[in-house]
Amino acid sequence: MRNEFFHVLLLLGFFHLVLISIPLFARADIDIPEPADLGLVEEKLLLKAIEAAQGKVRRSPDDAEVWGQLGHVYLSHGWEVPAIPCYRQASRFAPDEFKWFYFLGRLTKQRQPEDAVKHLSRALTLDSEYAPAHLYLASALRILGEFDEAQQHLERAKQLQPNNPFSELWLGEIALARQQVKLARTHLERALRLNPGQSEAHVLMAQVAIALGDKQLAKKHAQVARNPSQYGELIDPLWWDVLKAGVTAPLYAERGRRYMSEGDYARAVAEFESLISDAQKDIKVWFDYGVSLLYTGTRHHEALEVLEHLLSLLDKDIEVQKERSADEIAYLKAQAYNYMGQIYYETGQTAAAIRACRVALQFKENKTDGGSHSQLTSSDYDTFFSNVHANLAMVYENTGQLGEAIRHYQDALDHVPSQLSVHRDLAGAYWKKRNYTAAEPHYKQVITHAATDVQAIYRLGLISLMKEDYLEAVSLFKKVIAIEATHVRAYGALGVAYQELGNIPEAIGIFERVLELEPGNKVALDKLRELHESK
Amino acid sequence: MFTKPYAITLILITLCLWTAQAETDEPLFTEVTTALGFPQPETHWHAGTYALPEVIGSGVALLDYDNDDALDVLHVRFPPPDEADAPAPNRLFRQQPDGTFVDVTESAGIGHEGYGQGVAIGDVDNDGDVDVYVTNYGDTDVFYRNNGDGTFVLQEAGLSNEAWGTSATFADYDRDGDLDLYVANYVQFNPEAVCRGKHGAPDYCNPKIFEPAADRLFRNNGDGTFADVTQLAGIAAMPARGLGVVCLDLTGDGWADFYVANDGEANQLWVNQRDGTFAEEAILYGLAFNAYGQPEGSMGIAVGDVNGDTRPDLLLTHLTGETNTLYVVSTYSVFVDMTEMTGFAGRDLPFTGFGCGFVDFDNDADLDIAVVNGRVKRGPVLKGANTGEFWNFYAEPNLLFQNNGQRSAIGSQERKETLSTVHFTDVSSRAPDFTGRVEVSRGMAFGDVDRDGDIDMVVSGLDNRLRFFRNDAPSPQHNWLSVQAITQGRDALGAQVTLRTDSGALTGYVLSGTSYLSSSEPSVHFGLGSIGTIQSIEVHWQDGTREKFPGTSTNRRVKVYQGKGVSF
Repeated sequence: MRNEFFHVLLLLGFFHLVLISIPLFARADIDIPEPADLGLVEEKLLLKAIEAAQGKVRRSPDDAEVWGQLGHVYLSHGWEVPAIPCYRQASRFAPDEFKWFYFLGRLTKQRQPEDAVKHLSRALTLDSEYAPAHLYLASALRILGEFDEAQQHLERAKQLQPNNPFSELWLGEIALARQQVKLARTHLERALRLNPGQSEAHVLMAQVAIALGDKQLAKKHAQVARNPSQYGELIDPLWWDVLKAGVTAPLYAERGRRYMSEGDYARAVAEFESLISDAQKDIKVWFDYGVSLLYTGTRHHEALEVLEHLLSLLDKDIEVQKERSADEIAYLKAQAYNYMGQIYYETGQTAAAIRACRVALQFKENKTDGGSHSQLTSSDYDTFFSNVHANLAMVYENTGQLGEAIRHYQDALDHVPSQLSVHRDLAGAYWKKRNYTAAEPHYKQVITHAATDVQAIYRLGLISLMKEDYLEAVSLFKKVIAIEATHVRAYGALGVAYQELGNIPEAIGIFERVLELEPGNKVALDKLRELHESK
Repeated sequence: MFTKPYAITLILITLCLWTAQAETDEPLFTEVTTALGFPQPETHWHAGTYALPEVIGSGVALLDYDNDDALDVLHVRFPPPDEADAPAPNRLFRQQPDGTFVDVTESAGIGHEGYGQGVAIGDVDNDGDVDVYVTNYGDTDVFYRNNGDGTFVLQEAGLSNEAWGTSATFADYDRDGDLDLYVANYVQFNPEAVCRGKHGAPDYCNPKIFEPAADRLFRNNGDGTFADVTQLAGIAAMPARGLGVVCLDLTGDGWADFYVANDGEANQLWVNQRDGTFAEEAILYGLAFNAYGQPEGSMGIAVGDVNGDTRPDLLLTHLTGETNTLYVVSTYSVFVDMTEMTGFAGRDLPFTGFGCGFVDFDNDADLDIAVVNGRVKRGPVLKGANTGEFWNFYAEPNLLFQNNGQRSAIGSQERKETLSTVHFTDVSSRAPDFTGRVEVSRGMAFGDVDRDGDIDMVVSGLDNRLRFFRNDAPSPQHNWLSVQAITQGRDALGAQVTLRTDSGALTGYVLSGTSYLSSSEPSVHFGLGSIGTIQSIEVHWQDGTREKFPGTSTNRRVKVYQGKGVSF
């Protein structure tokens, strides 16, 4: 009996040992997925990053975060397949963590849509407010033919991110696939309002127009659709986590550009600096690096050096010249000179600023038709050269050369007649030149599109006063006061208008209001004295 | 002891199980390359030098050049990567009465030694035998006129294309009774360009770094020569990187249009303006981009009526990460990308597709899909790859999809709304000879080579290898009919053939120039399933006339001649 008991104990002990040993064995044999073509990778930094991420997984194989990070390293460098099991492990060890299910769903969306639906649905139970998860789930459901559900998630994404054109675009695409042509048109029109440059929406609109029998409209959309799509960014903060895991040049550049688009130029500079060396031939990197340096606000001198280096690459480097068309090179040079003009201006070197902007404008003359493969449209060129003219005009204006300033503001408007800021600046230049008649139409342009522009309304009121159109003047000054209740000068001018109209009591009331706002205002005191005397 | 009804039931169940087992286990295709007498290379293909032409591959044609009613094979070939000047003559294989093939290149005089790419087959002089046009990289294309005695003669005939020609197709676009020629051109290749792939390793260049080359259109003068009408027709206005081309009426107006598959940019639909000119309207007809309005790396084109609405639908093969895209024509005459709703999109996503075809391989009255694959950029080595150290990174398996003719995911109203009455299932595992090899395949042609009533396939590989697949799909009680539509004594390329049956209509197209760089048998093969009788055969000839021909029994090959039917 005792012997048997001893055997049972021994057996239990053995099983216990086996059980506690399992995790140790598992750790030793841990199977870490890796890219099949890893042996071909030549970039040392990348190999090091992979090794480090894999090492962390080996040391902490039950840690969701280290698995997820390994997934990020793979995914950021274009290896989706080995990233999937990493995220799967991460979601296993952190079953309540939204992001791992999200990435898993996002990656399996096209290859295994059924799995993606499962993962993204789980993610949305953990955070139902993350719009991109709704978008990707809708996409997976659409692949499975589950249109109604897909539509529901697109509608939800639309609620969460009303400015995201993708929801409307995909709703339009589904409606078109279901031959609901009018509904497709509604969604696509909304998508185009949100992002007029989204070629995909124009493509679908062309088909909608054909289906509705409007071939002319179809042709118009087809024409626009041939331009490269200007993507509205899908706002996906979690994608940043992936990008940050990247250690190859394109990822540094992408991060730099993203920081630029967010206005974080110091971080953008840091990213570009990882790429900068004498061997760097990517002129877009040099360009963005220079612009970022400029916008840090403190590194003008370095920005200038970088842009000068870029110009020398564009002028002398045969490899660089081979990669770009003559038009693209000319356009980049023009942009570089324009930014150099800005640097000179901001550092008080106005003569140099004028010279640089003038050089930029010379490239306008060299522009050809852009070629069939240029990524730049005529509208891009016009907008750019309009800006250069406007910048040059500003420099002239601030150095007192109003004639030159006006000429360049007008040139800017010749390129893009709808530039509101240029209308405003041109009106201002005319105002300084006391050419009020010339200023008037430009201020009118401004208030047509910016009805609350106080300065434009006020000056138009003054022009009306000068033209002795007192009723119009009263109306305009009242508008100014309605927008800015403490605009002392508008009150003063309104008082004058009333006085000229013979409405003395109103005029007195207005000048008294001026004194309330600005006790001791000499003009108001004089006017009140004058008005009381005239009674 | 079982009672009699139980015994009968048991026997029936056993029979059913046995039949089902037989259907499942029988391979759908069997490779018979060696048995048919085609030479097989013994060593792996030379390692690549990263010059773009090396990964484009070449085509193959199934043609009856000697009018003996047996299909022969023309294999377009190119030199190895590191020996660009080595002779690599195209090869013609004649089918012998016993079904095997013999190399007759030399006696036929058709062994051009260029950097062969694509092939177009058609009887350009209406003399009853087919002539041959071969596109080349780095050299002018070549045209061989058939002497009618088993030999060919090389002629210039005004067909001068010095650009990098890829796919080409003969078609009578101007309705004057003779075949014209459209040649898709690719890029203005610069051999000095050096490109690197992911993570800095050298790899094949993205074609976008090279300027596109304008396609060419040659009008048949009717006197044995051609005139280059590229400029006149408006085709020169929009150069693009063309790889595939088909010619048929895609806009429903009865006139032949050209549809060009372009690599990485909008596909083009050259709509026939009926005055010798064409207008590019692919975007308007929904054929330029995928459902999301994005261009794809288009290679091969398959044409067929997949959903039984008597209108042509299209399948385009694409790069890895892109689906092969199925365009189904809607009631608005606009094509709609139905890829994601027809079941095969997820399966083909990892692969780069080239040759392709809608083929009813099981003769069950709906069109199935065959696609051959192989990368153009290095990727992970797949299990089973055995194409040499270099090419293993580019090797992929082929795919075979069966049309189930139904959808399970959505209801009937939804089907009506979405045009999707088709659903494809991956049956690659049932054709291990065709899909089990992990190789780099490019061209593919289709035809009933052994005249047993089903469609066989021949595939050209990147290593200048041919693989021949005999259709062995078990199709008990699956009938078929093959229709050869003839006009002017030749195949009526571009004509549409519709069979009227008790179960509805079945439509096919007289086309040879489909797939990728290849040319198939132009007879229209119909799988009929249980349909036993054809009420009538209707032909929409390419000149706009329509004729009805009497019905016929099934499981036979019939010829219909323009002018011999009843107009309607």
